[in-house]
Amino acid sequence: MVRKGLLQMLGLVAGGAALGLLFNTLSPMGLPLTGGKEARMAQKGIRMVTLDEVRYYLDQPGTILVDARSPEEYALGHIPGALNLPADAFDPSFPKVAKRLHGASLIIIYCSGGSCGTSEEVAGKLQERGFKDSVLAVFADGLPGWMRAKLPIQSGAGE
Amino acid sequence: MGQRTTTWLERLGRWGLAAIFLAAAVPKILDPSGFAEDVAHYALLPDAAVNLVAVLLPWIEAVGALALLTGFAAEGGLLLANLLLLLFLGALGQAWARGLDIDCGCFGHGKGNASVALAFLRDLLFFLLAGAVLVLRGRRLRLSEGR
Repeated sequence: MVRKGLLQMLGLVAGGAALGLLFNTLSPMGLPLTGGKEARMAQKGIRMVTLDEVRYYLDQPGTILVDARSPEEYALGHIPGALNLPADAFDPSFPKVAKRLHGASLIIIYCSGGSCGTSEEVAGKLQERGFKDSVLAVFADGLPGWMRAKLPIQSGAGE
Repeated sequence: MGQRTTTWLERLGRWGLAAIFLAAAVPKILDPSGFAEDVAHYALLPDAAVNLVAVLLPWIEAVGALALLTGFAAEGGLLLANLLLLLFLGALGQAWARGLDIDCGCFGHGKGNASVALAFLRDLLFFLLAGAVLVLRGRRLRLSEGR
């Protein structure tokens, strides 16, 4: 039974994988198979920005940084001037920052870097709230990338 | 336990597992981008692998569920269910241990899924069910061969 079951299981995995790839190829919702977060963001029309770009845009009027991590993480340390808009508490937090976000010419969202998904989740939720793709950007390296460059951080709770 | 009882318990257990896996797979298939975000939240995989997993995993769940439901390749479906649940327990367990406050994404993106701790305990129950059904399947086959 075990040998037969293992062979069947391999067949099911192969069949499922083949169907998944086929569906992904044919579906308009299909994901780019490589490229990770950057590819998903590009599919949503949201661009990624590098550390140098973040520093450049922060010198321009109308740029707002959004920290998509939890309030506890934000209080421990965030990029100076960033607003806290946690993905997990987006709806109750949004009204507190809405006015400033609506006045922004560029909103750069970040989280914990690497494969953290909260920045893209917040970007998606801002899109749903009517923010244009051209106003939204994600800083993929996030706070760790900022700290690696030995740039200053600020601590304390948000507004 | 008689053969008739064993047969029905195994069948009902398989159907229950099939329903669980189908309920988990369909929302993920319909929202691959959302599921990719959920996978990324676990911070387990390299970023480049997240989309591939989000594309393949729900279909593997769905095909496994169909095997459980129809009885075609039922042993394979049961082994797959046990393996997947073990993987989910590992992913949820490490997220729980690391204190990650994330949506488990178990039954689709942004569907008010359980917290990581609750999802872990729920998957543990599913895993026990899947293990029990696998044992019942083996017993049923042995009884059939002995007749």
